[in-house]
Amino acid sequence: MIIDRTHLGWAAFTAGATLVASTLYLMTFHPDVLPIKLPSSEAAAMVPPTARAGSTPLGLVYGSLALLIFFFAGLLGWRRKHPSWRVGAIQFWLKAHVWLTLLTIPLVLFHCGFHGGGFMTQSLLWLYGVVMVSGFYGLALQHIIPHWMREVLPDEVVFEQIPYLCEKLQEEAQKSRKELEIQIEAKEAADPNAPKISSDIIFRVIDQEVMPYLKPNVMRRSRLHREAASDKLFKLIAKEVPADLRGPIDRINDLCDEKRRLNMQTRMQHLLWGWVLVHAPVSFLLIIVTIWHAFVASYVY
Amino acid sequence: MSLQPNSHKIEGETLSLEKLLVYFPALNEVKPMPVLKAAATDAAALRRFKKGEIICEEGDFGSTAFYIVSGKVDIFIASPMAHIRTKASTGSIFSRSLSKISSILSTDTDSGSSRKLIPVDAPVDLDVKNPVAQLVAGDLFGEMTCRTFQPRSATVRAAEDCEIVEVLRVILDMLFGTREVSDHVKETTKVKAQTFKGTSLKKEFDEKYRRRGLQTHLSSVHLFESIGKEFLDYLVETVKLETVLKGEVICSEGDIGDGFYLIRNGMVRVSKKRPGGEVVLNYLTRGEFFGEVSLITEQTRTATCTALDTVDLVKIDRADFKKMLDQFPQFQSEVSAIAQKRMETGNQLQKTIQEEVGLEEFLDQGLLEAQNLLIIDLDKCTRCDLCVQACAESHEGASRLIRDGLRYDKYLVPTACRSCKDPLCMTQCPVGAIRRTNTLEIKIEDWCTGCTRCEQLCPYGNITMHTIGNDDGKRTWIGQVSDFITTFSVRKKVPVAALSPVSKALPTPAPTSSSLPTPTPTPSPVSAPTPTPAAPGPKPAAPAAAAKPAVQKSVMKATTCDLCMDYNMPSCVYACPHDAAKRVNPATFFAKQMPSLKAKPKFRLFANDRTTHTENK
Repeated sequence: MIIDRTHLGWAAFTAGATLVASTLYLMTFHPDVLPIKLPSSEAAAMVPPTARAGSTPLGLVYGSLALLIFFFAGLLGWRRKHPSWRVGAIQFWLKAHVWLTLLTIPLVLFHCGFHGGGFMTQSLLWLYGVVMVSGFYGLALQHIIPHWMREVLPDEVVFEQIPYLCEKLQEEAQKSRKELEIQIEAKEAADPNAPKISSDIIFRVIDQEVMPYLKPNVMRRSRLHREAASDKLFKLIAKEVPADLRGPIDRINDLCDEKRRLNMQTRMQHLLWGWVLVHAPVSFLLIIVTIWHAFVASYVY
Repeated sequence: MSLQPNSHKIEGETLSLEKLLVYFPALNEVKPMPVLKAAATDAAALRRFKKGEIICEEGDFGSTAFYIVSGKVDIFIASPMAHIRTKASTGSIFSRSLSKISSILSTDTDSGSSRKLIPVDAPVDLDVKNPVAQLVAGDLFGEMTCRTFQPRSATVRAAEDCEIVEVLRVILDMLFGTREVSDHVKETTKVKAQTFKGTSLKKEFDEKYRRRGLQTHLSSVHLFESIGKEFLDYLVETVKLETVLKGEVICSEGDIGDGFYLIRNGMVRVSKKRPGGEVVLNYLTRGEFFGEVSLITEQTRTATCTALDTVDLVKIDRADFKKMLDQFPQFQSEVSAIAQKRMETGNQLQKTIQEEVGLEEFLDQGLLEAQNLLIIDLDKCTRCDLCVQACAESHEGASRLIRDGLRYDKYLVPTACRSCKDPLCMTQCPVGAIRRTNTLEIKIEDWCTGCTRCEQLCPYGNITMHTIGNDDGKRTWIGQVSDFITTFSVRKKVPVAALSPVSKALPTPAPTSSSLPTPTPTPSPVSAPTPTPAAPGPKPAAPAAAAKPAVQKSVMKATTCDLCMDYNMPSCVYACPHDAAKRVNPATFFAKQMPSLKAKPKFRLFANDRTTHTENK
């Protein structure tokens, strides 16, 4: 999701809510910082600033709000699984997800009074940190990668079809191999005195390097994965055959180029969505631990 | 025997010219005789069918017409009335009901202009609720398939033992004088193409139609329901029966309106002039009408109507139309409402055209053909595929959208219906099931026979065929309860699984309005039925196992994006989390975007080729 003008409303809401939350926090715990002395500040100032803010009424309100936002944020996964349901556009849900979770930063900080607390609280804060950082990382990637993909991959395909396309590439490579084999045999039969073509080497490269490389998985260690090395290899092979037999080899080279492009798209797609592998499970864990924290806190205190 | 270069084989007894002349004596009028002899050789065969045998099946391709010599046949649509429903097929009872309620609350964009009759390639139309009729001796069916190679529009089965003459197009051309020779053929071939002027049989058929079929035809048109019988009798005597050949203009935009037209046979294109070309407003088929706007408004014609193939028309003169308007207030109000709607559609289109500026390059890519284009901003799209998933979820798992296609700068034009200005997909539907709604979207009616013609005609690959009706027994009890609840909501869309195939309960056929004479040598043993719709027709033979093949075969339905008409926003756009998917008018949208597009537009085609569109045109 790209943050643009359409987010102004949400940004204003989040900023306003942060301002209100900050003012209330300062009024309650640091009234001396405020330029205006409010009548309620006297009583509130009785509470020591370093006390457990979470256990105060305001702290509990902040904590509860943050927990509710966590629940709502978690519902996004459910919403995405049913994209056609008319329960508010997913775009709205995602905007709310982004901005409300951003709002949880002041809420959580005010709730914990800028103190780490015990082991559980600290663990909770760490989990929260991981979720927020991974979320922001994902958001940043969504601003960069789509544009990059458009520039780098003008022939981008539907990602889910890549395995099928790889199968097609393999079929094409097999056809070219067969064609080359027939052409070499015909050439040798036509002119038995001509220098022998080292077809063994060529077919070994095709069978042992090209065909495995054209499989759907990304083979980073293959030299065909690097464009320069691949070009060098094909140039060497091309030297082994007469100029009129290079057609099939050039086609196989093109297929390797195509596979490199598909590999690049795969990598970019993984980069674009890989962060979710961290964000989603840790978010789930965060909600569980937060519920446990709320239960323990309310039971103990 | 092989009858034509297309190697269509007719089984049965090949008819020599002498025998053919027995069935069609009017062929004697074709001169000179050597031409007749050459043309009629191997062009017809006599076929005998036992009771229950299938004569032809809907969706089959063919190049022949059938003339019933003796006996009766049932003509019906075997495909179940169904379509891919627009609602979520998965999820809990809560979600399904919520979606349903939401759809009920939203505005329905198609205000129910569905037709009551299905036009088929025979002298009768089929009732949508009861798509079966009977043809008798002297009737001709399969004429449009023979002339235009459209797929068969209906299944025909022998109701009793019958004899039928199956003929190739050349016989029809000789009898009716309707052979068209295109300018291209004239220019490129040295051999002079043979043309036929027709025989007295054509006049005879017209007269028969006027006596037997016209009143039925007129009274079957919803518009004429309020017209009194006396006036209908008067019309039967005064209307003109006209035949227009392929490509001929019936009336031109700007002309003074001289009459009202009812289509008896064939297809008419309604178009409007615009800067740089013309826009097709609609394609009209048998049973539809045109020409009323200029007569009501006392102004010139607002659109041009052209025959797409040989078109038979019923023309009501201006004076008679005026009389109808004066004498029948209900007729006046109904026809005025229709004219008003048509004018609004034309004006809306005109307004859209005026907003289109400086986008000539779009023409090459067909983007200007589109009225409502789905685009995806690739700079915003995270390739999450939710648009496709939402589309599939909204249509029982059958997505009408493929996230691949043409690119225009940072915009991807996915494979989804564009609601083209000239919807070629509509031009050859044998049963008129694909149509345009009042809001210009393309809609496929439930009686689609799955012939794939529209799919082949769409230049952008935006119509897909889906198998339906196989979800029987797969639903969970929660899903079944949800279905039960939603079935009783406001919208009456019958679940596919609940539909009975036609063979299970063949309804009573409507009586035919026979328009062809009984052949002289073999007088029909069955008299033509009374041409009144209310008359009880003879019951068809008990459906035998012969109908089964047609029913089992017809499980395919064409689907195309209808912009989720039941909702207020297409599901693909609604589901996009990143504001990347949009439905836009391409001309106005890109006109606004043009200054911000950095480079000259780069075009790319994945699966579709614009040349197809040009060729089809």
